[in-house]
Amino acid sequence: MTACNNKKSSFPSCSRPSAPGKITERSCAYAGARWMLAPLKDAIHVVHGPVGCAYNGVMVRGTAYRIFSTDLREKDIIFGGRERLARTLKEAKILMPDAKYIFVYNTCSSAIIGDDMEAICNKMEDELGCPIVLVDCPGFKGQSEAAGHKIAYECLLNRFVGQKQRDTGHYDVNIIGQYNVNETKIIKSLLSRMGINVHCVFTGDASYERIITAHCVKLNLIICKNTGQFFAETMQERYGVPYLKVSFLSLSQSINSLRRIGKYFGLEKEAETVIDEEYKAIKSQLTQFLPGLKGKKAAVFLGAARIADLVKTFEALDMEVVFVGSRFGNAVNYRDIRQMAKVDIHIVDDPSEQNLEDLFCKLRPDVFIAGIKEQSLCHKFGIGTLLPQLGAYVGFKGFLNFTRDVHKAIYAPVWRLAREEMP
Amino acid sequence: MPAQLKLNGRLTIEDLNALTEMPVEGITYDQMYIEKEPICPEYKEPDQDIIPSSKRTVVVDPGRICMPFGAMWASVGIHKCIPFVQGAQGCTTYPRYTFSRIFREPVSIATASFHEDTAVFGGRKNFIEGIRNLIIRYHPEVIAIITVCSSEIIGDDMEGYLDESIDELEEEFGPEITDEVKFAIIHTPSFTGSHVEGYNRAAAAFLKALAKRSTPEPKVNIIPGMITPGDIREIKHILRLMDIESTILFDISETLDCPLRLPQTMPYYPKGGTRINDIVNMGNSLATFALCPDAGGAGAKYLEKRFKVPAMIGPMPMGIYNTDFFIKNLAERTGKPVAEEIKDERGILIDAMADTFHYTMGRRVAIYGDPDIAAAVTRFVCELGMEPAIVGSGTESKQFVEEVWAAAHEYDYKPILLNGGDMFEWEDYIKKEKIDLILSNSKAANISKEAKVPLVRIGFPVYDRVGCQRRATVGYRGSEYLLDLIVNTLLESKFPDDRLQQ
Repeated sequence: MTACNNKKSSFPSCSRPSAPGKITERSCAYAGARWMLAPLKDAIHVVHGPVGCAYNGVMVRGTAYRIFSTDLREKDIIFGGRERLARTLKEAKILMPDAKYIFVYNTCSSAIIGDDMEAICNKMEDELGCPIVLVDCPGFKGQSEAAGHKIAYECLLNRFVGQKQRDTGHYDVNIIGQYNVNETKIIKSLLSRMGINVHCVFTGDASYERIITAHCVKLNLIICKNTGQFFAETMQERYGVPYLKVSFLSLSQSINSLRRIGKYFGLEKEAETVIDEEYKAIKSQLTQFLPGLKGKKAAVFLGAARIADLVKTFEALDMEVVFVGSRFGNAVNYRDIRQMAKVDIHIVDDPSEQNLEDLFCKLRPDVFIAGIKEQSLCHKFGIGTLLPQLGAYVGFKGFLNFTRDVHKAIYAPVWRLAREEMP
Repeated sequence: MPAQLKLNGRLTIEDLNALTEMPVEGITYDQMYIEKEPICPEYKEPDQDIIPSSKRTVVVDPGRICMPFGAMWASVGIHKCIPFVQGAQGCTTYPRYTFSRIFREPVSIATASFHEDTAVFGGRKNFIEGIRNLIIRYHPEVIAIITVCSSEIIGDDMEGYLDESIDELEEEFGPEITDEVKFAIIHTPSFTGSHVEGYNRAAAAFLKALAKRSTPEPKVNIIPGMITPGDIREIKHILRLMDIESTILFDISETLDCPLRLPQTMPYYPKGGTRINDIVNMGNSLATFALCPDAGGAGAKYLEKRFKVPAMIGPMPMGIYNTDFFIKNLAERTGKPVAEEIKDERGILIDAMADTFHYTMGRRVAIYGDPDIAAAVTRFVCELGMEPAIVGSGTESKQFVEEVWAAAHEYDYKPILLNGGDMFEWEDYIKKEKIDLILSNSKAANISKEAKVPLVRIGFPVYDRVGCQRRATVGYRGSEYLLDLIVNTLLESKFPDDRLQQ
């Protein structure tokens, strides 16, 4: 267990491969790349590998996306799958002629047999007349899905961003690292009421046209602190686009972010108006939940980007965060949490199933924020969960949603009934 | 005063009722942008030359997963068994997501965490370390070692690694440590077959590793195949009525549908699952019933070849004909009479069919699923007087073709048969043929919406409705439930409300 002791300054050792057999919750680079790129609906997504990878990659964030597979068979494993990939690309383009660009995902099998996919992609690019990008994300690459996130962003950066110029509006921004489609909509509406135009959202709301002109903006707003940061830094380096780290996860963070964006564009007055309006709309409703949440214990286990913001959110709700886990957090993430947390928190990097059971039995949080896979285990221990992918939790109304859903998770009658003995 | 403000004290019923009503709006779910738009904006007829899967290389929206998934499904049906997947992390995490989605249950699957170094130097180090970690942290009783494409291509010698691993463990912790744990190696290279074949191989592998012949016992073996926990409970119910002792190999009814009872112990293991001793005893039974020929048939055949236990393979007991066949065979093999209650259950199903044939007769249905389930459903819809217009199986199977043709000939239908085709091909036929009802899994939800044909969810996987894993669709009672689903869906979509009040 790579947990750290509860000293104020310490954080767990991280960015290390997980030990085999410990039942890790991490996934592979392919999963990470799919996670990033799946919402790009005007693209053809071809998975070069056995059919299972494609089947699994259909479902991303609870939405089914169309996927194409080369379906490598035994014969191709022996003789190579180059022919098959070339034919597949050709046929996929016939079946989906409107597609503007093609992503080809590498998988474990195709990487080990050593198909020269780059060469085929280049060749077919000329033949089909649309950009074909190799997403080199075999499952064994890197330590977790974070590797895939980075690979996907590199593909977008190196192949698409900066291809075409456009007239930059005075208040144009990109949002980087927002993948939830519902949340994207909320943030866009908040910003548009301030007079700011969101050009491209990576990748919750992006299209080919907007990606290739994504460098023609005044500012990048980073929401995902890990890969998003890398993306924004590269854009600053190459195209001189400055960036601003923002978060819309809680009331204070939303207000703070809107003010900073307002200040950057000289729209302070508009920002204040939006904040006032939004805050008034939720204020009365919010207060009925707050007493119930006070002093309750929460635990968080997510990817990496949102954990620090969530800790802040819970502290704003007067709740105690007892546990923070991350599948692929880095030292910066953990240091952030340590610095901002008022009390000592158990921080665990890459918790295994055993660590999670430990958490449920010993720390006994009242609510646990995690993915669907950990959710079922958590319920077995009589603890309520919240699925961050289900709802929209950003901005002001989103904060109300969050508070309401946390309240639901804690006070669902089922947990009390589960604890009661049968007469 | 809102109920939530005085929660430190004990809640009254009124408080609880008040709690379930959440007056606060926030953003309601119907305001959210839920992506339910059709896959393509409008139907453009694609190039007809490459619609049939046989004429193209590309697979669009595959209807089958790779073999390791089936092997994992099988392994979690064994008591205190943890599958150990010799592959990259995604090979376990994706199936765990899938299990969580379908069954809403936690499933522990360990991985060898392949990284770049493993791809170059082989998986020996990861395997030995992984098995050690798994045993000393989780104390499983069985470890199912499952290979995937990467380890098979690299050429990991699993048998050799296992011997080495056991030696090292015994040296470190003493010989007792490996007494308590059994191993089964299941070779499932992902580039052949499908999840159905993976289940099949798991059945054979477990029986090869564990089954023995000693003194014959008057009981039967059941290899259920990839059916739901509810289905297995229904099979148990039938066996109980017939007063037959049985061993169910891969009994997921109590591992993938478990009660929530506090306090929970650590590490978390479901109470149920097939016990090791029962698997060892499977060589002594009167007969083996493999309910799904493609998923589990290999296990039955092994027992027949090795221990002379007669194999009764398929078809899946759904509908009148197939269930009759199953129960007749059960009675014959065990010498027990068919129980009166079972005859009554059959009568109730027949009665339900008699009451509803007005609605079902002549309806054209499209079916897609795993081969055994699709074949059984095809026969059942024929029995209901419905026409199976398009029948597809994600996995290629000879048995499937035979069973579907047998049913189609008997009832004089000529269905379009897609053996091993993908969902894209099937979807295209749905748009061209006039279809009244789709019987398929959740993967067809989008297709159903786009083609505006109602969908009855059955088979693997169903993740967008709750409770499907608890309901049986096999046996007379299960078929009755399926009949109700079919008729109610038709009533909802094909008949105006004022025609329904008889």
